[in-house]
Amino acid sequence: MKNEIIAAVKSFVSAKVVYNETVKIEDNTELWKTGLIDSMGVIRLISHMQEVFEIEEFDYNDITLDNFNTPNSIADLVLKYKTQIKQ
Amino acid sequence: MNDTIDFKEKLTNFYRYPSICLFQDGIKKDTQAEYMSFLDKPRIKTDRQQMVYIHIPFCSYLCNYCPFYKVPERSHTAMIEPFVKALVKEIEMYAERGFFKGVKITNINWGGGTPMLLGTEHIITILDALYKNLDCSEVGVVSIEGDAFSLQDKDKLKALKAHGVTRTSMGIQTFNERLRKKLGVLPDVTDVYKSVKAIERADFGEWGCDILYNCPDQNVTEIRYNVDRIAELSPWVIDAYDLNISPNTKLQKMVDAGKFNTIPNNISEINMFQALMEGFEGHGYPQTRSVNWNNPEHMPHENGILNVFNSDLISFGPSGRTFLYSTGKNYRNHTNLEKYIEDINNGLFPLEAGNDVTQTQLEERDIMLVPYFLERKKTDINYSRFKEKIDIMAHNDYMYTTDDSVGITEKGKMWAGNIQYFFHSDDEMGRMAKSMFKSIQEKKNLFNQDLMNV
Ligand code: SF4
Repeated sequence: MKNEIIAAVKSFVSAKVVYNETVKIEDNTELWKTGLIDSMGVIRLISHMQEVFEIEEFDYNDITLDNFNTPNSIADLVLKYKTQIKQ
Repeated sequence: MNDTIDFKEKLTNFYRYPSICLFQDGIKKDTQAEYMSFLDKPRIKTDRQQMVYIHIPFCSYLCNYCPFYKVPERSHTAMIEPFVKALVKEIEMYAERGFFKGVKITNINWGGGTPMLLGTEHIITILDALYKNLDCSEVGVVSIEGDAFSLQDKDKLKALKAHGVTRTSMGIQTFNERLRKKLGVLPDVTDVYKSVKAIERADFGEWGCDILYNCPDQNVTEIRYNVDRIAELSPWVIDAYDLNISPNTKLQKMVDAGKFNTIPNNISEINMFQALMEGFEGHGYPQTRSVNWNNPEHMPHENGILNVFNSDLISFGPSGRTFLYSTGKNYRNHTNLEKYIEDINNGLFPLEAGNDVTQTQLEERDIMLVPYFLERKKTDINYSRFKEKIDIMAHNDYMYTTDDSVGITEKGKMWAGNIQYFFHSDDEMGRMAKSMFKSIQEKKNLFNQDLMNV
């Protein structure tokens, strides 16, 4: 599941990348802090994740730089929501 | 940090830093006395100018792209009188405290809304309150905004001129009648010409105008046409607004409902901005800020509005935004006329949200403003702190440095907003995203987190 989420983040960001399109996005590439995506891009990414992984809505307090900085950290956050739903 | 940067998506310019967000920076009534206690101490000695902004929230029609706080005049006529009284009292409340004692105001700018909609006597009442309560002995510019309906009254303009108003500005937006109607701009192009005549007949001299680009149904040919028509009118300065269709807004709903034939995309936005740059330069209007072009005979005043963002600014009226470098205060008044009047009548400052700005953030604001000003002296910024990032921008041909200045290149002029964003701190980027997220979640406008045009 985590790999699937990471792949979804990478492909969305590659299509929407603001800066350098030749940059290779790895699992731990810092997307936000390096400016690969901007705040509006993060918002787009959030709604994309909500839609694809059927998350009703992220909690406002989870919209942090740390949670949304790398494909890896985003996948952890999405997984947290998926696990909560299952319980 | 990857050293090769190739901006793809054009970002709108940033003018304010740090941002103010109702959800993160709300000021409660019981904490405002402490927040405003800076007013008891005199303003520190500083080279920064002290400017004044007056927000008049009435419009005779509501344009559907406009995020600024305003109410329809027709349904709020009964509130005009109480509003003017509250505004005068707000000015007095500030003047009573020590902060502004002996501080010379350099610029008074009226925006809104449509300030020219107010009756002459109301405008004069407010001006008199400013002249009486603040030191306006060295004010260089008093500017008032209007639309193509409200600026047609030559006698009113003359009366205001006689009372110290030196400049006016008009929202022209576009010369395309069909687009005007779709955007909800009621006056037609003939009204624009009538207003320009009235401004000339009133012998106003200095005037500026706003135009829009990146609108739905707009293309490069129309932008060129607009630029040519504006150049014929010879305004002193032109302000170009990037029309962004924000989530939740009426305009977004119109787009979704297929009311427009074409919607702007990243490529068309770049092409339209390019057409603005080439068009104005072609008419001999140099670009003087990232979004402004000046008549070559009338370059920006030292104490003019184009220097507002690196000055101290105190704002009166609903939604007015105050930024004081001298004391690190950054706050906004209520974006609600009733609450604004009520707080003032209860002896409270009508604050809605604000934060305290650290020295580190002030430095970030100054570097963030370099693309807006096109060039700054190295001594105006903390050059050594930002050198690494400046070098990356220079390596990618977005910025340049000389012995004593830092600026943006010709290529960088297209990407001023992106360069600004590049200098935002991690913290500010996070705050902005939180604000956008919550605004979208609560179906509010992103600009003031209120219900304007949603
Ligand atoms: S653009 Fe001007 S006239 Fe139109 S609604 Fe906004 S403030 Fe009023």
